[in-house]
Amino acid sequence: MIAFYGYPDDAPLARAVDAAREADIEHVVIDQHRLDRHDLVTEVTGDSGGFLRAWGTRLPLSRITAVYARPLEPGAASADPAARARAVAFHRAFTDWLDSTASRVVNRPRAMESNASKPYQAQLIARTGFLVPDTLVTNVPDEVREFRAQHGRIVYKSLSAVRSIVREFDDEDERRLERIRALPTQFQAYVPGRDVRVHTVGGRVFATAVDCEATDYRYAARDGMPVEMSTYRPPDDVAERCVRLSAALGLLLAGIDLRLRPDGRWVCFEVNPMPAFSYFESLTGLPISEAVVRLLRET
Amino acid sequence: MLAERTDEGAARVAAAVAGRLGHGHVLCVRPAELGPARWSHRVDASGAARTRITLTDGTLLDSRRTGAVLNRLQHIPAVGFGAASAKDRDYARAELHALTASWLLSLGSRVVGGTAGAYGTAEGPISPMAALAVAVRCELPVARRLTSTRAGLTGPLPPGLRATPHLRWPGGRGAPVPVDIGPERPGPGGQDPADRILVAGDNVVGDGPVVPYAPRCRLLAERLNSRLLELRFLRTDTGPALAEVDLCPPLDLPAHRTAVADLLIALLELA
Repeated sequence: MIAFYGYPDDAPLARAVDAAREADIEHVVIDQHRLDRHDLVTEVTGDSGGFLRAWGTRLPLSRITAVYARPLEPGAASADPAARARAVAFHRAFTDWLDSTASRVVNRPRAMESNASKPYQAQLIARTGFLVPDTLVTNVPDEVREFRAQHGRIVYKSLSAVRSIVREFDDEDERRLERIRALPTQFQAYVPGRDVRVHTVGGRVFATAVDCEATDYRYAARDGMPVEMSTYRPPDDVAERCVRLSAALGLLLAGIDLRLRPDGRWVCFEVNPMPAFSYFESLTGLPISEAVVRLLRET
Repeated sequence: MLAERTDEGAARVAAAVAGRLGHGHVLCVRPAELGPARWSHRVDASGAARTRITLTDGTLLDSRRTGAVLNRLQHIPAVGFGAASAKDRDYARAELHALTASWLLSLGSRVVGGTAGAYGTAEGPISPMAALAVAVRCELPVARRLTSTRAGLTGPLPPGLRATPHLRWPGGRGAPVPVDIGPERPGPGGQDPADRILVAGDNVVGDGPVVPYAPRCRLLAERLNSRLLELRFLRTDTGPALAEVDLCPPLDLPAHRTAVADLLIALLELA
């Protein structure tokens, strides 16, 4: 039995559920919208006493052989304090269970943690042989000026898991640079080249080349810039390194952001432990959701 | 020493280390000092990091000259963001934690305390229940604990266990509120030292009936990626049962403080 955890209307989860349904695989969807209406009992000494109650069915946790988890931010809380408490307790207990069960979990919450600090993750990425962008985190304006003088073009973005748009640092930013004194900010050397998003699913690799003029292609539409995506075959050693990197971070599914520099060297920006692969799948036809389900079934 | 002023255990370890090496060798940094400090944290293209933190009193903390860190961080306040929106304050806190985590990771084995996680805190992202589940896999005898989203789902309470509801609600065991079920005995803290084991690097401190578990305690520390943790056991009819894993132990016993001071000094000598 495969369990899917998250919001059923979240595209990556929805695609994986569809793939399981098409393959006629027994599964259960644990809907994060309805956690107060599901029930869960977990026992720290093992799965034998634990069970899940969802959609009118009681399911021993020991029957769940694999989970695809895409826990997102909780939605609007119920007005009933008991229902709210149940939803919070369900999420916490299920997350703990995902971290400790012997079942296959894509991905364990603990393994997803490295993305909470980008410079932290960059240090781990570099251990697998990828170059990472030269990075400065500072609240000292002169350090930024020196960094810009050293690299010419630089970008800035958040360093935590809080999402931000990558922007190129320009003269207008330099005029308001004093504002960084309030909080250390992350700056990176601009890396020229072509973006390649690699999804690893277990040992399988699905790569997409992204052609776009924007600094951050994810938000190119906001600046009226087109994005072109196409399937891509990375060199074998790069594909192998991506698989090794995901494994080193404990991730069975990962979205790896690479850029191929004009000199032929590969730079890795970050590893997304909960990638929205559906976006790439829908534009390229890469069978990622099918691979996810196959991975879940291989337990 | 990365610890709150109120952290007596850390203060005493700091005093012990200073007593052996001299006061100039120990710097106590409070979590609230991290935000207002001047930071320069570089990660180069090969992943090598260098950090220079200048505290508001001008003291420089250079990663190349830091021999060892005792990390007791629980939370980094977003100093200066008191008038900001809750969203901006949360953002500032997340950024400071991310930065601190990257700095601590770059110090590698020089850091004692914490799980080398991406939040930089001593306790890391591991919940008490998850830590106990890892202990089960290390073949430690773990006291029975359950969590249920409704009080009545677990049936009658077995002897020796008590149910703690997450919020007060009428209806007793039939109440539609979550409960934690665990050992009836009051929580740890006042337990006999003979029921406690501290792992500090390769050193395991403890005596009494829990001593045979020392190798498994060390294995647990390894699996939790922490070089400092304390395990507290209950005495049951069938022998000791692990009740709690503490990744930021109070260091309230002299033997525990000595072990941590020894570890820090050993790291300093290696650096």
